[in-house]
Amino acid sequence: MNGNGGPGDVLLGIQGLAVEYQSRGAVLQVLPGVDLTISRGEVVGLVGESGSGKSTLALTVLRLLPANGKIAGGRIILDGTTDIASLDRERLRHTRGEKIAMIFQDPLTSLNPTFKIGHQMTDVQAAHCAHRVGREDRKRFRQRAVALLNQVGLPDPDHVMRCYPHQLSGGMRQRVMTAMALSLEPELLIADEPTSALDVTTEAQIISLLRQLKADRDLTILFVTHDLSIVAQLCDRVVVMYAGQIMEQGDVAEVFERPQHPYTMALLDAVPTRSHRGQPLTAIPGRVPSLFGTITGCRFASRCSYVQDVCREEEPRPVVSGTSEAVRCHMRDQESDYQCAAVPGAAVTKAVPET
Amino acid sequence: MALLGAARPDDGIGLFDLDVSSLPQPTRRARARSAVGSLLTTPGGTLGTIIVLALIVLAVFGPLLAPYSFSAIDVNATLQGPSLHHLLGTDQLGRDLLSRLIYGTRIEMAVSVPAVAFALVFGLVLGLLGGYLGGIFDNAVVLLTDTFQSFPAIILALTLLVVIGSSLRNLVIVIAVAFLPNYARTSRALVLSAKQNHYVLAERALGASRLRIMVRHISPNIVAPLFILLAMDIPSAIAVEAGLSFLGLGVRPPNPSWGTVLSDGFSSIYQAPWAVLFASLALAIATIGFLMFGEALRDVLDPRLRGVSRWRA
Repeated sequence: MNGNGGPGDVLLGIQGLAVEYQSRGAVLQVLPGVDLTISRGEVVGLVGESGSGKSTLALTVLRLLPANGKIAGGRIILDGTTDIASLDRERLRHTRGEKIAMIFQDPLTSLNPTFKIGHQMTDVQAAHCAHRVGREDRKRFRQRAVALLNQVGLPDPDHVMRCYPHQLSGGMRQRVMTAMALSLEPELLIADEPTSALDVTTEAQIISLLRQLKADRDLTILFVTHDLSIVAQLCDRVVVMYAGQIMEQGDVAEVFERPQHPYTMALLDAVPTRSHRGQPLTAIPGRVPSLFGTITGCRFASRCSYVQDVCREEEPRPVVSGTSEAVRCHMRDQESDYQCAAVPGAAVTKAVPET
Repeated sequence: MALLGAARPDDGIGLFDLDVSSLPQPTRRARARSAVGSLLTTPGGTLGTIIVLALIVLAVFGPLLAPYSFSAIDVNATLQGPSLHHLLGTDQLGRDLLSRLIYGTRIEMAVSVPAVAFALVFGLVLGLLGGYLGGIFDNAVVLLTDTFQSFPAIILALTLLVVIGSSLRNLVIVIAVAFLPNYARTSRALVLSAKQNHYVLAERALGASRLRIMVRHISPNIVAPLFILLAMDIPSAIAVEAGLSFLGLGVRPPNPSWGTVLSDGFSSIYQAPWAVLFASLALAIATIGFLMFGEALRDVLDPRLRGVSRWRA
């Protein structure tokens, strides 16, 4: 399936990425320093609850932070050569769309209401056309737009091209957005909760569309969501974020089968299942810690059911544990002072090598 | 990398059951007809549209419609009241008032419409720069508009006209400058709200440049309110022009602006009030017409504001 080498072929390497927001006179450390690697051809699911920084991470990859946010440190290496964090405006503009494209949560408002779909589909291509756009180019853009709309499963693309966004349903608009994002053949598609505004039937269609695109064009996808069932359906690898930090990452099947971090366990416990029918839903007590003020120790300590003294004092480092690639938890770190009692899951650990 | 392939059915989910061809798709002509139709739904809108159209016709075909030349002097018939020969009477030089007012319409439209249009275009540019780029651009635009807006339009235009000298072209320039801050402020506010739209973020994510987003994506979304403002500002511009001409700084005699007709008639108001009366009437009709037209236009272009009046508020 991988056209450009094995799974070790790194497409995007995020190293020590720190993001700060200026808010109410204070500086918020939204991302304290994230390390994440995405290989070519894989689908990575980025999960976490609201406020965990997953959308911020996704936006930062394309430098789309709001005006009060800034990258405070770290690098975002694309293709092993380009550091997106330090690109100038024009080269950044070309990276957006041509190398990395993004689709958003709300397909209802992500299209410009004043233009027909055809205009918007061709405008993306015109924006990245190196020379002056002529009549022949427009014809080519239109043909390509129709082909793309066809590929994302929109029936009668010629008709869709002549429609205004308000004439299409939410699912159709998300398909249009996806077609637009694919029009410049990007290598990486970032999908920021693309289905949360859609109903479940449409959601299933969009998920199967993404799966098909991945297979057809060897597309690498970073899928941001809070829905673990989508991750299970679509993704190869899962990355669990909490309060701006990656708590656990690894192969989807392995992590969901044998979660190593208490937060992952709690998240999986909170998924409603049929065997729990009639019982109250499980929830994680407490809330995500406020980013106003400093956090010492483990960020999840205040809500963790396995919490020990060391968790409140010392920040855990990421370790390899069981089948997970990196877990940020003292109880998986053999060199930690954690008093191991009855902790579920394997505890074969070693430190993660520095990247 | 796989290139464009044909769509294929997947997972048995009924993607292909969708039938878009049944969606409503009004034709261009039908949309245009319904827009004009909505302009004419209210009595005010109908009256406004008729007056505006009439003024345009008078301005364009004035020379054909006017019974006399605007400068034809008839010393045997000065300061006459309305008669069959001179429908609106004559002034102190015996010139036909109807003809002078018809030619005046021409001048009023030729000054006010381009002036307000320039104000809109340059105001929009400033508003886009300030609103979208923010930072120092925004500070500069706000400072500039606030400074200019602290003067009443007529005082500002008067001062500028004294400085750069009086001519038809300069008249257009000073009125444009006097009205510009209003457009800059309005479009800046509209841009600030429009740039929060998700489609702007989506366009940035696909690599649209700042210029492209400002010009091609934000502008079309904010011009509707600006056009409403334009329709409503035309009578104000006419009033400013007439005021300047009345003071002798605008259109030079013998050219007949409504303001010069008014000021000529003013000296003989006791013997023959016709000139003042009819010139004022022309101003009043034009003002009312454009305001009604503007309100009807607003109801069509921006239905959310229906019933909210800029003047009653």
